[in-house]
Order: sequence, then C-alpha cells, then structure tokens
Amino acid sequence: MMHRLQIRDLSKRYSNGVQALSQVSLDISNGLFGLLGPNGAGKSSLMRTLATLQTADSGQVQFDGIDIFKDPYQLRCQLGYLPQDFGVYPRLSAQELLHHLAVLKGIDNKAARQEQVAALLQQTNLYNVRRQAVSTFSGGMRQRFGIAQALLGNPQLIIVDEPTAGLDPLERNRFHDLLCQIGEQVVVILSTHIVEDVHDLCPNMAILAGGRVILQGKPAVLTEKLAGKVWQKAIARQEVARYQDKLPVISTRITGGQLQVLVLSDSQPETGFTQCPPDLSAVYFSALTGATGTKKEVTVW
Amino acid sequence: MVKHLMLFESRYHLRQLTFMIAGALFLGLGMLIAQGNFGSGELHKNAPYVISYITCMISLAGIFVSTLLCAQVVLRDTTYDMNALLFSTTLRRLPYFIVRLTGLFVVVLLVLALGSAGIWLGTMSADTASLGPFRLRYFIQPLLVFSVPNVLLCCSILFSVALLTRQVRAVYMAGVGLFILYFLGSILGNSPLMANSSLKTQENQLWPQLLDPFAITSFFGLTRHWTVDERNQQLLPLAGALLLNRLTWLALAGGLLWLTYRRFAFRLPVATSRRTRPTTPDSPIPLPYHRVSVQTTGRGYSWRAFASQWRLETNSIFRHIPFLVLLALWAFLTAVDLKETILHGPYNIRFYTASGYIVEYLRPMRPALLLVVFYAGELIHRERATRMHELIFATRVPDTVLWCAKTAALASLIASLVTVNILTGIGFQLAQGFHPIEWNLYCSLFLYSGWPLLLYAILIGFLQSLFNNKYAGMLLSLAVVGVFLFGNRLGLHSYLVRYAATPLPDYAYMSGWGHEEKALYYYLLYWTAIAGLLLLAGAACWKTRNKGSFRSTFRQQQRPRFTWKFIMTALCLSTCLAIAIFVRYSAGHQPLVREALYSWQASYEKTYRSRVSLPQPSITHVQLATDLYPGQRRYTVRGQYRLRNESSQPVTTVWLGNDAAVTSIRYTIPNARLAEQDDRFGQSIYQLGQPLQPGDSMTLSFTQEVIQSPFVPFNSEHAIVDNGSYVELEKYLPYLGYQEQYELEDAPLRKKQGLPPQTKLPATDSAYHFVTMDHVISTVPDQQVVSVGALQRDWTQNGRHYFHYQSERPIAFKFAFSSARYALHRENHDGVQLNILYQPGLDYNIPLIAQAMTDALDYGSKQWGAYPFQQLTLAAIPHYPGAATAYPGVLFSTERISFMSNLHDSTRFNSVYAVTAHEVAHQWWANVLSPMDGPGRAVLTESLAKFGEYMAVEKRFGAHYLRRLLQADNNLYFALRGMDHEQEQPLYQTDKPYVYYQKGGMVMYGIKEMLGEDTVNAALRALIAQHGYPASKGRPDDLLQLLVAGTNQQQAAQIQEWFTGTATYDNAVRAVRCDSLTGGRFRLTIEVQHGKKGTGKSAPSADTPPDLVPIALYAAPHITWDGSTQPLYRQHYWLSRSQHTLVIEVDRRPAVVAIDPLGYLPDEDLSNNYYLLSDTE
Repeated sequence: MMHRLQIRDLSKRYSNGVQALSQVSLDISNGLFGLLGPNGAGKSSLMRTLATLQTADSGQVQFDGIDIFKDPYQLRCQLGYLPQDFGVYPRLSAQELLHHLAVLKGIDNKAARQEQVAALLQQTNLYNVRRQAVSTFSGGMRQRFGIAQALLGNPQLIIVDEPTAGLDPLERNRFHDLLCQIGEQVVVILSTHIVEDVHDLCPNMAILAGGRVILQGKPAVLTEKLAGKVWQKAIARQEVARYQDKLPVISTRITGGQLQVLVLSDSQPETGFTQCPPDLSAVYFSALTGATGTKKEVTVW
Repeated sequence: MVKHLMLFESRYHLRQLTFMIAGALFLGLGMLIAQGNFGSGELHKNAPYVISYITCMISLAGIFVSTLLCAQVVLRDTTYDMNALLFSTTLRRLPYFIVRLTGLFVVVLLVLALGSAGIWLGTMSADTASLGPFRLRYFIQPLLVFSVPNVLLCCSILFSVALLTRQVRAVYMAGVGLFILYFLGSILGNSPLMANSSLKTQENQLWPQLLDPFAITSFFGLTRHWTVDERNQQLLPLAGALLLNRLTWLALAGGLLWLTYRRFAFRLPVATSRRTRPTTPDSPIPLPYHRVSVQTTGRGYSWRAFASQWRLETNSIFRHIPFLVLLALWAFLTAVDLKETILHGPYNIRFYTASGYIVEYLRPMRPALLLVVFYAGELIHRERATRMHELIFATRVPDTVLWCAKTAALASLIASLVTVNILTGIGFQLAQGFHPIEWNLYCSLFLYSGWPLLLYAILIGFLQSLFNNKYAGMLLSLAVVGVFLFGNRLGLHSYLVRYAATPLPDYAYMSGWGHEEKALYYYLLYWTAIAGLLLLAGAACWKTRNKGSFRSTFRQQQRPRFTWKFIMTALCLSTCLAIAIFVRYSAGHQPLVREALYSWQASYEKTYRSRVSLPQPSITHVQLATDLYPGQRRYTVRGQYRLRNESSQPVTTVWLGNDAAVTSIRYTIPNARLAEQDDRFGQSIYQLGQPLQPGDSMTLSFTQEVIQSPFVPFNSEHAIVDNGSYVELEKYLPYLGYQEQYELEDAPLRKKQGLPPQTKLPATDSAYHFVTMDHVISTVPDQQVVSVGALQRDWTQNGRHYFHYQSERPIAFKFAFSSARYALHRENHDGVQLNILYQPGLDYNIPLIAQAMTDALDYGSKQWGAYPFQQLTLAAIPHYPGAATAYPGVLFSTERISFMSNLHDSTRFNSVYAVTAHEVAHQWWANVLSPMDGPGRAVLTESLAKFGEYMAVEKRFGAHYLRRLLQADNNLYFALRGMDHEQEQPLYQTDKPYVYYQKGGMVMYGIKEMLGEDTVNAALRALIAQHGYPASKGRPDDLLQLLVAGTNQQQAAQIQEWFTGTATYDNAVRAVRCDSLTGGRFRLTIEVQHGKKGTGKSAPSADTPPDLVPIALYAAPHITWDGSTQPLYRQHYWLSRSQHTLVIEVDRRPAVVAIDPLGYLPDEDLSNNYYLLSDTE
C-alpha cells in the first residue's frame, strides 16, 4: 500500500540552538502509527511541524503527494491535531467551542455540524457536561475535549500528542477503541511515552531520540527480533553500577519490590540471569541505550 | 523573608519591558511638556507653578502605567498558572499583600519621578533668560503633594480590583473608570483643561475640590488668580481644601486596602461553574462518530469562520459585568458632561438642547481610545494567552479572517460606545423637553466619531501585532495615539500626517457642518485607505508572530492572490487621494502655521518697514459689485476706489496689498505702471505717470476673485457656505501702504527672527477716513444678502438675486455681508426700521432681541446723540469668534448664542439681551466715534459699549438684576487675567480684552455710581461732540479728561486710579452687633475690611487716596435678590484705612449687610462682601 505521509530528511534547529529534529525520514500509511521517545526527543516538534504550525529548516513532507509546506492549507483542511498542552477561551461551553472549531474546520452544513458535535460529545463522554465552560473542566475532561476537537470534520491525518495523559483507564480504553475504529481509513500519529499504548494499538511505530529516528518498524517484528536475547536478574541496588559497566544493560525495573536488571545478550551473560520473553519496552529501552551511546554498542537489528 | 520577597518583586518589576518603555516614555513626556508654552515670556520655564502643573498632568498619565503594571505584575500568578505553586508555599497573607502592593506603588512612583526628571532635563535646554532659579523642592513638593497620593489612590483601587477579581480585564475597566472619575472631577470642578471652562465663572467651592480624586481641580482653582510673580515663586501650600482633599482620598485608599486585605482570597480560586445547568443525564441514543465532509474554500467558508470568530470575540467583550458597569459609567459621564456644557455656557448661558449641538458635543470620543487600546491588546493576544493557539491555527482558517474578526469585534465595541452616546444624547434631549430628535444627525455620529475610532482600532491592532508582549504593545499604542491626538501641538499640522484626523466643524442650523464637511470626507477616505493597508500588514505580522520567525513565514506562505490585489488597490487609492488632496490643498490659500507665519511676518517687516513713511492716498469712495456663488465656494468683486491725497506731499507711487486669502486680483490704475510685484506678500507698487498733488483725487479699479478650498481651515469671518455665508469684506479688499499689524509683537519671537525690539509707530493720524459706499451684491435666488448701508432695492435677474446697498452718510471702511435663506422680523421704532433676519424656525428669542434693540437705541439716542441711520438690522450668522459683531447700521449675531439660548429660566441672567444691547451701543462707540490707533484704543469702543450694555440692563431689569452680570464680569476678569500670565497694563493703555471689556465696563459703572448717570453721559456726549466724525478721533485720555473735569479732588483721584492703576480690592464686611431700638428701629454696628492689592503696598496707607465704596443693608438675603430688590439703606463711603467701624440705624430688621453689593469693584472674593445676620443677633 502506498505511504500517504512521507517525511524526508526533516531538520529543525530552534533559535536557542537546540537541534530538535535531525534528518528525520518516515513513511506512514493509514492506520495508527506510534511515535515513542523520551522527553525532549523531538516528538512534539515533529508533530507541530506536521501540523504546519512551525516550519522545518530543511527536508520535505508530503501528504497524499502534496508538499505540506508549500500548501499548508491543503493539509489543514484534513488535519486533526491534539497538542500536548492546550488551553481554551474562557467562559465558553464545550458545545459552543466545538461548534466554533467545527466552523473553522469547514463543516458548512449546520445539521452535519450539529450531528458530529453531538456524536463526539457522546463518544468522549462529555455529553452531560456539554453546557459547562471548558475552562472549568478537570484535566481528564479537558483532554477528552481535546480529542473531540481533533476528530471534527474530515480528518485524514490525525496527530495526537500524548492523548491519554491524565485519562483514567476506562476513558483510555474508550479512546483507544475510537482511535482504532477511525484509524482504518486515515493516518493517525500517536505520540506517547507509554509503550503499552503503542503495543496495543499501533501496527507501525518509530522511536525518536535526540531528534533522530533511532528505530522504526512493526512492534511485533521488532519484539520478535529480541527473542532469546533478553536476560534478567534480581540484584541489589549497589550492584547496578557494576552491571552497567560490565554488561549491556537496557533497563532496570522494580518488580514486586525486587530490583531487576535487564541485559541484552545472545547468551546467558552471567550466572543468575534468566531469559525472559521480550516485550516492546525492551525494544524501546534497548533502542534508547543504543542510541544514547552506552559503553557497549548493542546491535538489535 | 520579606526583604528577599521585596527584592524579588522589585527586580521582577524592573525587568518588565512595560516598565522600561514606560520609564522612557515618561522621561520623554516630561521633557516634551517642559518645552511647551504655559503663558507669556514672563513665566519661567521652571517656575514652581509650571513644574507643579506638569507634575499634576503626568500623575494623571500614571493611571495608565498603574493599570498596565498592575494587570501584568500583580496578576502574574494567575496569568501564568503559578497560583497553585505560590499558595502552597509558606508565604503568608500579609507579606504577600504588602510586598505586591509596595512593589506596584514604588515602581509607578519611580516612573512618575522619571517624568519629573524629564521636566528638569527639558528645562535645561531652555534659554537662560526664560529660567528662574533651580530649586530641588520645586520638583519634590509637587511629587509629594500630587504624585504620591494620586499613585497611592490609583494603585489601591487597581490592586484591590486585581486581588478581589483576579481578572486582567477587570483591572483595565477599573483603570478606565479612574480616568472617567478624573473627567467627572474636572467637569464638576471646572478645570481649565476642559472646553469652555475659563468662561464659566464659579467661585472656588469646597465640594468640587474634594470630589476630584486627583486634586487637579484644587490646583487650578487655587492658582487661578495667581499673578506671574506668584507663579514664579510660590509652591501651592498643602493646606485647606487641598489638604482635606489629599487626606480624604488617602483615607479612602487606606480603607479600601484594609477591606481588600480582609476579603481577598489567599488560595486558589474555586472553579465556579455558574453557567452549568443541572445536567439531567439525558441518555441520548448514542450517536456513532463519522467523519463529515468539509468545505474550506470560497467565500462561504471565510464568511462563516469570520462570523463565528466575531461572535466569540464580541461575546467575550460584552458578556462581562465590569464592562457593562463601565458602559453605565460612560453614559453617566456623558450626561453630566452634556449638562455642564449645554446648560452652562459663558455667562451661565443655557442653550436649547438641540440635536445638532448635542451631536457636535458628543463627536470627539477620545476616552474611547483607552478602551480600544486595552481590548485590542486582549483580543489580539487572546489565542496565546489562553494557550488555544495551536487548536485554532491548525485549522484551515486564514489568519486574515481571524484578524478581521478581531477588528470587527473592536468595531462592535466602538459601535456600542457610540450607541450609548447617542442614547444618552436622546435621553438628555427628552429630559430637557426640547423638540425634534434629529435621527439623521445622531446617526451621523457613527461616521463622525465611530469611524475614526475604528481607524484607530486598526492602527492599534497593527501596533499590537508587532509585539509578543501585549503590555508593551499597549504602551506603545498609547504613546502613538497620544502623538497623533496632540500632533497639532507637536508640529503635525496637516491632516494628511495625523492619523485619522479630520477637521471637526461646528454645527449650525444655518449651515450644517459647513465649509469643511467635504474635506472631512476626503480625509476620512484617505485614512481609510491607509487603514486598509495597516489591516493587511497587521494580519501579516500577527501571522508571523503566531508562526515563529519572519524568515520561515515568508518562505512558507503562499499568499492567495486577491490579497495582493487588495494591497495594490488600497495603495493606489491612498496615493491618488493624497495627490487629489494635495492639488486641492495647494490650489487654495493655506494659512501659514506658527513657524512659517512668524518668518513670513518677520520678512514682511524686514522688507517693507523701511518704506513706512511713503505717502499714500486715502480712500474716499468705494464702489463694489460682488457676486457670491455659495455652492462653488467662490465670490468675485469688481471694485473701484476713489483715492485722494490727504497728505501735504505729492504722491508718486500707489502701494497696494491684498490678503493672502484672495485667489487672484487685477488692478487697473490709469496712467501708471507696475513698478514692483511681490507675490509672497501680495504687494504691488505702481509708479504714477503724474504725481498726485495734495487734495487731488484719482481712481483705482480692481477685480478680485476668492475661491475657498474646503481644505483650507474654516475662517468664521470669511465663510462661504451653502447657507449662511459671512464675509468681512473690508479685510479682503486691497489695502494701501504698510501694515503694522503684520509685525511680530512677542519680544522673544522677534529676537529669534533676528528683529530689533518693536517700536510702535507713533499714532499721528487722528483724522477720520470715512468713505461713501455703493455696493451691489448678488447671490443665489433663494437667499438674501444683508450688508452695511441702506438697501435701495433688490431684484432678480438672470437667475440671481441682487441687492443694492448704499451708505446714507460717510461710514468707516467696513463692508461685511451675509447671505442666507432668512426669515424676516420687521418693526418700526420712532422712525428707525428694525430688521431681524434669522434662520426660519429659530424664532424663540426674536421678541427679546427686538426689545434689546429698541431699549439700547432709545438709551443711546437719548443720552449720547441721534442714531445716525434710518435702519438697524440684526442678522443671524452661523459662527463668529465671539457672540456678535457690530457694523454701521448692522449687527451680525451668532445663531447659537443669540437665537438658541434658552431664556425660559428667569433665574439665569439674560445674556442675549445684554449682548444685543452691547452691539447696539457700538453704533455710537465705534461708528459715531472712533478711537485713534494706539494703546488703550478699545476703551473708547468696548468699555463704553459695555457701559451701554450695563445701563440698558439696569434700566430694563433693575440694578440688582445687573448685579449678576457685574459679578460674572468680575469673576471673568480674574479668571482671564490668571490665564494671561502677563503683567496687567492699566486700563487706559491696555490691549488685553479682559481689561477693556470686563474691567473697563466695571470702571465706567463705578464712575457712574460716583458721579451719577447724567454727569457721565454728559461727558460722553462731550466726547462725541469733540471727537465724533468728522472731527479728530478720540483717545482714552480725552475720555479721562472729560470725566475728571468738574469733579472734586477725591473723585478725580479715584477716577485717575481706576484708569491708570491696576489695583484690585479685597473688601469684606461683618456685623458686630445689632440692637433693637424703640419704634421698631435697629442699630447696626459693622466692621468693614477694606483691602487693596497690586498697589505695591501691603495695606492702604495715608498717602493712598481713599476709595469710594458703597455699603448697604437689605431686608432679604442676597441669594433672593432680583431686579426689584431695594436696599433698606445704601450709602457710599470714602474708605482710606483698612479697617472701619460704622454704626447705621434703619427702621426694619436687616437680613444682610453688604459692601459693594452689586460687585463692580474688582474683588477676587465677592462672597465675603455679604454678611448674613442671624435672627438672634
């Protein structure tokens, strides 16, 4: 299938010297695309650039064959965007605000507008508070409002930056359902640092760190590649440094109060290590440690 | 802890861009104002009065700084969502409160102190001759007396509003509210900064002074009568009403702060969801989500997006309680202002509340600009401030659409203010019960005041688009708006360089908006074209600001093509309009402004003064044919002068000049050649073929044309309008010889222009150069022409209406005419035909005007000599610098003052009667007798006409009715003297109107009180006999000699002193005891204080001549006096000491004892001239 969104060598340096994006190239088709990365990796920069809210220094982005920098308006009429952090005009109800945004998005038919706004209010479980001012919403409610507005109109490219932050598990599931349902026909880019979300939802993903794409592929394939290579061992806290020196540690985590160290290795690195089945977070952490240049290079692909 | 907080707070303040800009602006403001002119050269540039004045003004501007800094700094935690962090620290209420308040107060005060520093810097550059000694206290004291309390008050109010509401907008509203409060204070306190105020004559009353929160009323009230020396040396002492004012408002500020401290919430604001309706969990049939098609191109989309955004923005303005409160306050202010202005004109005149006058008054809406500045800042930065920008800008909507929606929201704000003004005006008119509400006039306010405001809104929007920081944008906007508003004073004279500035013509029912209306539309259009460009530029900059760097925006944006078209159109439009205006501009004569005029005057003097003694013939007969074309703003004159050599030498050259307002002129002099021509000064010098021998005559013919461009500022003495043209033709006809009145008089200005000190030409020519006149004037068929002379006949020919006027006897060279569609009121009075020509419908005051004309005619004919003409005509004209003017046999009187004064309230003085009588008196005192040129000449015209006015009023209404006029003139004399800033010259050599009108009239009345009416009138008759036409002209000395003749020594000394001195009185009276005697009689012991100022001595002493002062007792208190009031006792006393005790017996119980009860002796404080006796005394 053709890639609807093609990103080529996208670079962006801010005026304060931070290199936010560096030679980012990605090809994205319909469906959910997960973008993983630690804080400051450049996820939001990439998203804002894709939403044509800022420009890149170099590189190209095409959506359905149209250069989005040359013709940002063409993209914006099929864009749904939920920024990581946003506010709203004070003293306006969810319904009023959604209607306003719907007009700005170009839903010219009043009945269609009303129907879609009502549907979105229900889908995001805001229908009962639709007459309440959004500025008085709790964090989770406001986030749901953000989701609703991103889906207004006829979005072909939906960019959601940390959409489930602050949502309770129930709402998160609702949202995932909605996204999956929509994602069948459109491109959805989901930026997050919650590895499970990507694992659960996204057929494709990329990991961004330091402004670079350090890994991309299908989560299942990437996970599969690590089969038999991930070893773990319960250790004492003071031993962490020693292991990090000696072995390609990808992460440490606490399970049941016990500190576990995870090591990437083709064979058992040391006695006491047991093999564990790889998951996406192992992929993520191994990619990160590889990218950030720990003492030992680890090749995972 | 507190110390650390304080340091943090002050550092935070000082780092604000707003503070830095404000500091620089105020420093500049101080320097700029210090350059201004506060009076004559005698007032030092760094006089304590001047410094206090500027400090006062600057402390007012402090309102804006306080508002912006309060909104920005005090509310920063709310703005930046720091509240949660802040309130969870160990910070306590009191330190928080004190630190925030002190920070604000100190920083605003610092900004004002920078203003004072600016004044100091500004005076440094002044000429040392115009400086007094430098004293630090001259700067510090006004800061302490005015700035500190004013800043404290402003800060307290704003700070309280900020803490209690935690809303930025509420703070703005409070700021504007404070400004409105100041306006109210000024109006009620009669501040000289308000229009018309100087002519209102009120005493310093306590209440207005207390009510003005900024003490500006007190400052002007208390210094109003200060002499130049006092202004140069004295600081306003902090005592009395001023102290009370300061303490009152400080106490109020303190109380407010205390209340605020008790009430303000030192915790997170609870999210009140007032607008939540109880949500009945309606369980709708769950709707599935699907995408719907969008249409994001075409006009429909743009329009819907615009409308939706506009609705949101407008709602955000109007759905806000403080804004509605402000609107109410606005309406209130307008109503008070209207009442004060319409109902209290000069001499307490009250006008009919006609729509036209109300609309004219409502038209300037400068305070609205403040709201526009605040709201523009809010609206334009709203997306970023609410952090909604990413949601909005990720949609397809073009920034231009959003920008236009924001501008439209500002337009709605402006429209609402205009509507409030209109409703207030209509309500006011209805309340006053005056007839037709003229809706078209009211609606024109949307154009006349709304449109310029909208243009300003666009400019302000553009300025805001240049900044990320809205407060910096607001300050810059305020500064730029200030520069344009006061541009005229800063040298921006042309309407083409002052943003959204247009001429503001006055309204008259005769001529509508008159001469400049057309120009107004041109300028509006011109600025609209420029505003169109600014609108686009603003949208573009704003877009850039929303997207990051300029560079990327320019690379990224592919602009739709129509924008370019639009820019091109607007550019072309403004360019071609500018050219059009320029052409029309230069076509007509443009009066020179200030510097250019000075250098013109100086050059004239340098070029021509040397020929001052060139003998010139005199004009003896004038024949004129004038054709007026009101619609074309044009008239032509074909004229002929009969010239006679009245000198003793032969005349070889004829030196002609014409006024610059004349478009073209051609002279024909038989047997002469043009020797010199100077277009810059309009001078032509002809060499005669044959010298004109003494006693011989010759003829000069000329043809001239005047075309008035609407772009030439309106000149009410040279007005050609559709209806109600008025031309003082003699000023625009050719003149002969050197014109001394062109010379610069101001000494420093002369020095600057390189001229020696002025030496006035000795007045040697005492001959009357009266002329005979024959004048045919034509106008459009439906208008009538009124002019000097007897109307021989009028006829219509070739579609024009002709009038033939001829002088009945030789008259002064004065030929004004008016042309309008007049209604006529005619009566015959003892063989004199009285005509009153007026605007049809405005006939309210006709009987009264006719009465005044006949009364004054009778008085003059009986007392001073026969009235010289067969007719006396009074014609209405739309505008005049004063109320009315007198020509031989004709009076021209302004529509508003004479015909639209509301005289129904008999408790008010009838000034229409007085004005009319005054002008009739000029038929003798200007036309029968003319003064010789020279200092004090106006004593023989204005002082004597004023005397005639007083006498007519006294005869018709009684002496105690006249008292109101005398007292008004008394107050006016002091008020105008205070505004003049120059040492007063004595009456007999004055050239100041306040001396020869007000004081001159009072002096003549005083002499009449002393010598008796008959004696004075006999002297005046003798004056006419000796110096009336055709004898030699009179001088003030001649009048003085005739008045003194036959008087005793005391009286002579008194008259001498009144004419040649400048002393004023400080009289007071007090009853010490009142005894009941047998037979119902009362014996009163009174103490008289007789003070005199301006004699150079602190108290009257043995060598100063005594003064004749009337002392009287009345049965009724003075507030109840009317025309029929008679005193129980009245006697004139010669007072020589400063204290006298008198014992008076009367046969009725007196209620009041009064010294100078009518108030004709110049006395700053007339209130202590009356002493009320209580019943028990």
